[in-house]
Amino acid sequence: MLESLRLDGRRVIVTGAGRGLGRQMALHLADAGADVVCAARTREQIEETAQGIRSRGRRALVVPTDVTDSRQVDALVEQTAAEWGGFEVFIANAGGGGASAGKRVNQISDADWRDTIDTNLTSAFYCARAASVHFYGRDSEDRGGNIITVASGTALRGDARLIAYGAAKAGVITLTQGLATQLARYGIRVNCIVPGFVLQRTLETEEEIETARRQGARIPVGRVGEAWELGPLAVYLASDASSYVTGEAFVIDGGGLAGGLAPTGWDVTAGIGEVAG
Amino acid sequence: MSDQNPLAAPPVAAGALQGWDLSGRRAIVYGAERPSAAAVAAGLREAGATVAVTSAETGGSSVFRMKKAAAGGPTEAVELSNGTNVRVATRKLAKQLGGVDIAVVAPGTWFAAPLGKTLDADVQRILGANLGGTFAAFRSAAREFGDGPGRLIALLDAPSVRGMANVSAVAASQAGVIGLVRALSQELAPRGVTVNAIVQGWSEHSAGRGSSDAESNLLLRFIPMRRFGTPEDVAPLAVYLASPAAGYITGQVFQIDGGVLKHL
Repeated sequence: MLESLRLDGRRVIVTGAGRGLGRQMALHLADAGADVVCAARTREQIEETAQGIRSRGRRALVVPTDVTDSRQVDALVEQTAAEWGGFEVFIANAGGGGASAGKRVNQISDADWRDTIDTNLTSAFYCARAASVHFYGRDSEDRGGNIITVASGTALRGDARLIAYGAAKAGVITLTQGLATQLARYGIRVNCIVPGFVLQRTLETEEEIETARRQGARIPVGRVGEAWELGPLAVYLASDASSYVTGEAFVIDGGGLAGGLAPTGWDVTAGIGEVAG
Repeated sequence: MSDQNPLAAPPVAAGALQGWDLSGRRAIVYGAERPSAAAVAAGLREAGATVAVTSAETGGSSVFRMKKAAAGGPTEAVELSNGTNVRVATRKLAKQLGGVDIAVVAPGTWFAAPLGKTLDADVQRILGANLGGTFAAFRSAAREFGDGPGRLIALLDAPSVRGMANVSAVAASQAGVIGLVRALSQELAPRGVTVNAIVQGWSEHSAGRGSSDAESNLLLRFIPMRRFGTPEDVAPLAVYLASPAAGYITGQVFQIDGGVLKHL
């Protein structure tokens, strides 16, 4: 069984690989034996991720890419095919709050809305389309292929600060399910990772640490997640260990979405108006 | 990054297994005569855990299959529906293992009948075995958990999340387990215990599945992957959820179903 988790010889494209979750997923995939194509807008950041992959004895390819431009996404796939002969897994991780983040509904302009939808939902579609076309066109007997999208807990519950982002990420989950049902007959699996609060980078100031502590206290497990925790999940989904899994959304959120009726630590046995701890 | 996180996750050794290493961890698998639970027991062992198993029923064939799943490890034949017996069996196994860190329960006692023929006794039996049994197993195992990260995992079937005719008692009992999983995920999180469920779609061991030939079996054509699942399909996710690397996943229900629960 453990052998099925190995990724030796697998070639994986990771978008948004320059930092945060994308970088951690890329490094864990390399730990499991994969070669990784690192894509993101900023070359310096993906060069750094690529260094980490090479230091693990795996191949890395650096391809600066803006995933909101379908020509660049297609070019990413073409360059991977040209230099490495193809790939087996595409992780469409790039995304972000976009121009709508933190705004009230009346403050979100048409351009803000489109920016957030394009950055998160349209980009996932471009990636999935380009990957599917590549997988379908492969000569190998077991054509197959594997696409992993990344959504957010805001896809499943309302967040007043992230209404466009939440809508886009909800779209990513439904896109995942639709693709999974459409592509299963070609041996292509499509799954989604749904992170809750996860630290995207090293905390620098006391204030940042205090904010993380406050956020963590509201999460049932008592802490915010760390980016590396996405790594083993990405390895599982990229590997043959999950060969019967498709269309599924894997929530990793410290228990936040399973609860939510009361603040963490609320003790109904302590009487109304009291919060335990 | 770990040292910056106010309540850091336990560090996981980098390398080939990335957190799938369960060396030194101790597990009890309840209902191990069931194929998926037996595969999970084997997976936990392969990842380095010491594993004890119980059967969910005490009939001869159940006990025989439980012994097989134990691979020489400690066993207890005990009806899951009897909470006191589950408690006693768990205590005994915990002593033999030197403690418990992981409990996996497969509450899959099956009963198929239309509503009019599902009698009170049937409802009580199925709820008692599946829902009551999971309660008893989780409660008994959690009592034995030490300070390390505890793990509770339920292995369920598709009627827990989707309507299906003529299995109302099983559906109600397994949907109840999902409620239990969500509630306990909140209650036990402060203790470092995660609680999750895995739902299998149609497997090659499902009752009434019919032929494995996609041409003649309409059911199989309804599964996007065009095949039934196997017990081995379930094991890796259970091992991952049982591992220290999955400490940020709790209260979730994961489907391993070849896509059958995803389409309209």
